[in-house]
Amino acid sequence: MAAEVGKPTMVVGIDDSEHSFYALQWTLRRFFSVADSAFKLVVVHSKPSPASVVGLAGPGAADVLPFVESDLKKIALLVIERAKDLCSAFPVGDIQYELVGGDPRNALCDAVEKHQAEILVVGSHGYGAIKRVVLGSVSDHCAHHAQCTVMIIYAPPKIRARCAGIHLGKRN
Amino acid sequence: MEESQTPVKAEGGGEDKKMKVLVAVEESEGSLYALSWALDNLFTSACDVPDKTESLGRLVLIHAQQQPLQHFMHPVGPCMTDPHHRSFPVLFSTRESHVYREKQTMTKNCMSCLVAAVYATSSVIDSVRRAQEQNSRNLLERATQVCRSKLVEAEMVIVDGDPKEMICQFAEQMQADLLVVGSRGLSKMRRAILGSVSDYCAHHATCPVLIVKPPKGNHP
Repeated sequence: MAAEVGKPTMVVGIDDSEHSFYALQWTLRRFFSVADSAFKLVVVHSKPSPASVVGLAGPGAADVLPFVESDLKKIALLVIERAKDLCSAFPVGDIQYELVGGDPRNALCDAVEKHQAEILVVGSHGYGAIKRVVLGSVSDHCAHHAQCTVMIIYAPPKIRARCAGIHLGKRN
Repeated sequence: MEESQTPVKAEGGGEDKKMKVLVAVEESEGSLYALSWALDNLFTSACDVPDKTESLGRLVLIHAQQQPLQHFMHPVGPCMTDPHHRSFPVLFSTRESHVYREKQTMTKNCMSCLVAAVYATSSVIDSVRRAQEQNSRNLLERATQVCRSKLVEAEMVIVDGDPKEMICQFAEQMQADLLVVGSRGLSKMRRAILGSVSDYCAHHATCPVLIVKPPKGNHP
């Protein structure tokens, strides 16, 4: 099991929230701080489609879509850039970055299947029961439906307080 | 409350790499699989050390006993003799009093309790409790065997009470870095009805939670 070729894969799902970057950082610290780590790392970010973000169609919704789309693209690229910066601080050997589209829940589960991952790592916003139902929870969905082990990393309160101001308004 | 816990916290330098991993074990196949998965993946190291936990942190196995008879017994003094003059008046204060409803003979003012009518009742309770403890010990023995076969030393803890809450509380108490739970792979309906420890832990734990799914039967 220690052969170079047969390293198990770890998929980390990120979005643009501080919670998921904290989760990525935690994972890097715990599993990838030695040069020869036991896992291959795949970082997956899912860019939602503008239609799902804009929601109810009102007058002029069609006009707004292209702007929303370009904005989302920009955010997605920033997320990947930031993830790359974070990972460069650690001696990670084998790392892949993926930008996929669609609902993050399904995207993450698909990525797990595609890479035959052993572990899926997601951050958690720490929503209460009601918010989970209303806003939906990616970590919940993944915990139930992913085919592999799921690790849910919950950001401690001080980080949560810090990111309450700078959250970019993405729901997860 | 019964807790048997080995104390020593051997954290030297290299704080970052040392993880305190708490693994919840119960009697299902899922959690033993979770344990061996965790051992395989979290405690691998490039070099062979005879005791891997030295470089990689602590592994603590926790088993929550959910006693069907949650009670504690008070020896009764003279001021509390009950007027029915039973030979062994023993007061039980139960959290899950529904078990005792059919046996309840009288109630005191502030707590719901029952008075043992015969000596036999308390010995039955005793033997049930002892059987449970024996079960738990067997289970933890098996789990420790698994750990030893992978060359990892583990500590064992037994706690009483509702598994979900106890596990989360304990994780908070010992400031665990990672909590590992198995999952029975229940469907949504059954989760809601039967309750799921892994679900509860994922929502309420203050530390990262690792949920290990059972292996697929025909997964390559």
